[in-house]
Amino acid sequence: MSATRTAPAPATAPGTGAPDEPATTALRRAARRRGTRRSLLFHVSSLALLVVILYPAVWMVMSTFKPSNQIVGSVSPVPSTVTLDNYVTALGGIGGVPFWTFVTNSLVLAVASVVGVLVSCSITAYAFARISFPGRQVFFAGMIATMLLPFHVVIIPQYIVFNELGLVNTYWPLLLGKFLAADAFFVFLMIQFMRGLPGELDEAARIDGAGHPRIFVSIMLPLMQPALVTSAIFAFIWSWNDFFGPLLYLKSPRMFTMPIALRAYVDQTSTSDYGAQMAMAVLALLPVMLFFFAFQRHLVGGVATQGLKG
Amino acid sequence: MARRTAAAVLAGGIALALAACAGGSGGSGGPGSGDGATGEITFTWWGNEERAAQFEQALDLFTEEHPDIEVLRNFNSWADYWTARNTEAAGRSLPDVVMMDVGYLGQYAQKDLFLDLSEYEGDTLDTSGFSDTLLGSGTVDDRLLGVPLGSGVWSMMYNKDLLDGLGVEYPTDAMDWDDFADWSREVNEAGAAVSPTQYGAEDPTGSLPSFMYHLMQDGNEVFTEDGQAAFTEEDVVDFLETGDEQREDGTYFPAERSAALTPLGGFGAGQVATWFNWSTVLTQGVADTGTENLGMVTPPLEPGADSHVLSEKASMLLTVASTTEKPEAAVTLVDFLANSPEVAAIFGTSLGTPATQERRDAVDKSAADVVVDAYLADVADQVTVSYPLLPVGYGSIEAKWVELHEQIRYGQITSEEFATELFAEMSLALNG
Repeated sequence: MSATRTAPAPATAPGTGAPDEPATTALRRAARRRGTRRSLLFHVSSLALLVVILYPAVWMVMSTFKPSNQIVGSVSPVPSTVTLDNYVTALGGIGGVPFWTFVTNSLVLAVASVVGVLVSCSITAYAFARISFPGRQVFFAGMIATMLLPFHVVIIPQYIVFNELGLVNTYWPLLLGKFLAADAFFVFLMIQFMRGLPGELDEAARIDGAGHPRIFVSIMLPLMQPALVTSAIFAFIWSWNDFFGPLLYLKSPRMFTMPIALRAYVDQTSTSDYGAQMAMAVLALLPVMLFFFAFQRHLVGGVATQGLKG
Repeated sequence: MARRTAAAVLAGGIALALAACAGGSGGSGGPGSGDGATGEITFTWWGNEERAAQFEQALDLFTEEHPDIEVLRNFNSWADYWTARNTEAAGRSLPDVVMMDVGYLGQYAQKDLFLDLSEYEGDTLDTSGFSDTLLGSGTVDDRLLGVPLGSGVWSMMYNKDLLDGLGVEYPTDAMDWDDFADWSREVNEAGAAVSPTQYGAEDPTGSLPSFMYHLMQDGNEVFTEDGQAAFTEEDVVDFLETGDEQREDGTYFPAERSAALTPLGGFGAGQVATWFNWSTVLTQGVADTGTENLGMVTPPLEPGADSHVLSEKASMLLTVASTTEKPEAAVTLVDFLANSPEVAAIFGTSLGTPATQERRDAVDKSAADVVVDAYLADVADQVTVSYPLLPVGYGSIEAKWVELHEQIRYGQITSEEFATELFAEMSLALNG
């Protein structure tokens, strides 16, 4: 931080030293030079680190412009011949299902997940944070316990249940939990946030005759905005990137999401089209990256307030 | 104002979610009763988008012939396929028709997940065109569980373009392993001048099928009837030591270069002249190397031997789930996919060399298919044994072999340690 602040200083420095104080000026100049050198070092090393970290991503993006057979085995990110064929293949769809179907499926699932999480988790969190009901401690402990349960333990029982209900090959298995506040992480996040809000506000509203629904909608929801935004962003990104759930529950290619579809180009038992897969991966990354850039300010803000109010 | 927009967004989202769910749920159900060849069945396969498009065509043909049967399709790539099928198997809800690999057939058969198709033979299912050895690989405990779509024989492929460029002669089927090592050194010498340097061979002891091929040459069993290993740790050590000298003097393609080229491998990247694999993967070799100019011969002979012992491996099997509610319709689909020459024409040899003569004739042969056909005709009299029945857990042993072999190539473990670890894995996998 300090390095970045001192960086612009040398630009305005030359010739500004007072003539009657040569010793101090020289000292100051030396200090500035030291500062410049240090900041230069800082910038060069962080840029070098950035290159190392970003290299795989740059390689992936640039590889999409290479002919498919020149991708694997080449570490150079610069394509020798530039082609858009990979994007043409990727946008051409898979097995008769157009590319935009996959995008729409992913979007529908992600948006519905966000809605489900926001509605169900905020109501659940309100109950835990503000209403004293018998067994609250037990239910709270139970909810926290579901966070400790490894995901892989529940896969098969869950599959059997949804299969018995005839809900396999629908979006229900992927969404039902979201609408029933099964994501303990989000519930917990919102509870912690609500506990930080002053109880006097509720009391004042209560004296004015407001019940729980009114307090929740008019007092809590507006104040909870940072927590809601954080949850929405996470819910969107997790749903968009989810691979395992759609793999198990979606059978018809027409219902596939982006992460499933992009795997269709690489199959170790038949020929693999790495170019098309990379192109598909880049296309799949775009929405989620745009989403992240648009909301990243809120994300950081939301997490920061959690930390303070805890 | 802000609240109203928020509410509108919320309402819109919920409506969208509900609409999505409603749209998807139409799949289940369908006409309930009936044993006849009507109704709705599900079918799943593994493969890439190209295969998906081919199945799309094949199933359209099927719908034309059998308008009463509707086939719901699903496909995944190889690795994901088994994750999804294993979950379904645990829930006893496999799709009606499932594409199977011989490596998994035993495991699924043990859990009684498949219908015995021999009851339908000669009636709904025609198996007259299939060889007995091939049908044998779909048979477990005298029950015909899978009908093979194609088959392949273990082989050695070589890159003619690469060898022509270096001025080295093509390998022949008369070579033994010592000749092969000398030939590899010759390629390496010529290949040293090229950038990146070219090699004769990637370590040929690197896969379990190679070892099985080695065992079969001496007429040895690979796995016993009850699914145990029929070989000893010494057999494994002996086999690995056939490559010791070449590993030490750097005759084989370097391990780090193989790692850098994953998943292509040295042959696919055009840096190694030979490739040991099933004859069915030649098409993949053509796609990876970018040349149709590939050749195929039998792998080298054991020292002192004068002929090979080969076997046919079924490359894809069609099975019917034992939980199916429409067995007639499911078997009808299996019969169509396994016998129709039109279907063979769509797939060519991408599912393996077609299993029946009628289907082989229907294929419009590519350059690669001509090479494979010539090879199969050439070795026909040497295909004398049927492919070993692979035990439950075979897949994990095969994976372990590859993993351990990489450590051997890096010099991290000895052949003895390799054998000990492999047997430890087998005692878990085979008895688990």
